[in-house]
Amino acid sequence: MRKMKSLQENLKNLPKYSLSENQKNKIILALNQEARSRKKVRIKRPIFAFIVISVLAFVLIFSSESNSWLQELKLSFQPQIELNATEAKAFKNSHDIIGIEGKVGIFPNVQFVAEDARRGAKLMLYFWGDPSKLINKKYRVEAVNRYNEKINLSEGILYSPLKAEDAHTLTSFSPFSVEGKWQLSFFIEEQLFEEFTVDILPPFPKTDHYTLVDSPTEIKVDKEVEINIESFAASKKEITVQLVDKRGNVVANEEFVLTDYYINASDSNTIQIYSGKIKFPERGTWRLIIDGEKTKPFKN
Amino acid sequence: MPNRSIEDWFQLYERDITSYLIYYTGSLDVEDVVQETFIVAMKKMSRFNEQSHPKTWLISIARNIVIDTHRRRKVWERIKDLVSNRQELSNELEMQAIAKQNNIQLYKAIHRLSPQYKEIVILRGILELPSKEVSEVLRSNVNRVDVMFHRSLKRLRDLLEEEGFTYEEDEKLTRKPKKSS
Repeated sequence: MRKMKSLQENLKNLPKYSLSENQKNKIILALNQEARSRKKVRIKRPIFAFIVISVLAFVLIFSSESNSWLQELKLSFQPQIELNATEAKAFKNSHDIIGIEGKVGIFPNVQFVAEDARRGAKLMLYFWGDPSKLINKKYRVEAVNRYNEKINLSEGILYSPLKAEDAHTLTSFSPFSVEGKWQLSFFIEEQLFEEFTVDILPPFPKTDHYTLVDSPTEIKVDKEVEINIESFAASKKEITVQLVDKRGNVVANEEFVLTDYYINASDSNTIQIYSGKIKFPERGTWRLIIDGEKTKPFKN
Repeated sequence: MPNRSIEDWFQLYERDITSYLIYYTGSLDVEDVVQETFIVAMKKMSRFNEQSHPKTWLISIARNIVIDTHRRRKVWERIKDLVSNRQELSNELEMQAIAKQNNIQLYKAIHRLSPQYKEIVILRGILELPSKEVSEVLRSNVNRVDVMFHRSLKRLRDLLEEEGFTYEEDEKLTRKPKKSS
């Protein structure tokens, strides 16, 4: 042991070397020269990169492919408008409503998801104001986002009150095309009555045959949570659901069982519902592999 | 900015790189490799991982340059060795210049170690890099570095003893008189 220590001590004490001042100066000179020649190249590089990016952007914007990221890119180049209405707030009026208290509200207080018709099905719209200017009048709900995309969510006639409101109607909203902030404008006889903004969640992760019907952002992390998957084509009693992280590692592997089915009113197709538990370890980017079919990456 | 820091790094770590190269190659003529090390570092600056120590990173670059050059020269060396044995003589002279008289035996023993042991003795023993940094240079893990260092010291001690040297109480390396059989 002692011998080893002495040996180590001797190794430490072996001389260390440095180049002569003359040699060092020569190297510093060479380094400076190299840096200068690299700078010249660096000035040219951004110009070249700018041209390449411009050409690519041009090709992408005007190409007719309909990839979602491409759509997003296209949208980001579009002129944006300001949505200046106030944000919708939840309030209680015999039950939970979202909108502007004392003016207009949607029941139930639902979190809408892009491309989804489920959460917009069967909504009650409540209006407060002069009943004579509301009941039996035509109404229309229009949504616009910051890219000036417009959707007619619903239109019809307002009816006399059911409870504490001054007029109401039962309706369904057409799906929002993309996620993000949308401004909802309520018109009575084509006159603006009230408007507010809502945040729309990204579309549900889906594959060719399966759709997750819980929004990943609403699923708690680091906890096993029951989630549902819909399918219009499968007839299996059980399906395998795998959670994959962004590096491609499978972090959960679960069996989901067929728990229910219903017939879709719009196209009379049978929809199967599979339920099971899954745990998202943390917030991040994930994919699901449902019965061997991959979803696109999504964030929770 | 990268230009400024490479010059700072040169001032700070030139001694480590020069010492490493002299012990690693067994030659005093390392000026060109030192220069190439810093030029390569300047070019690759954007790839420098902030978590590792600049010294460790620079040593890795120097090491790769030596290995690459060695690989390229290998064929030539084989032929040259066959033609002349002058190489050995110049090495002997250089060894003496590098290690000075009192350390020459230790230096010779280091160069008799296997390449792996030799490298670890230079990095861990002579340059006193922490095990973690040595593991980064050698792309190994810390435990393996510790084990290898221990084994290389043992081997070094054995080599010295084979030559009849031992450590006395005063911790100096002295030659034992050889027993006559």
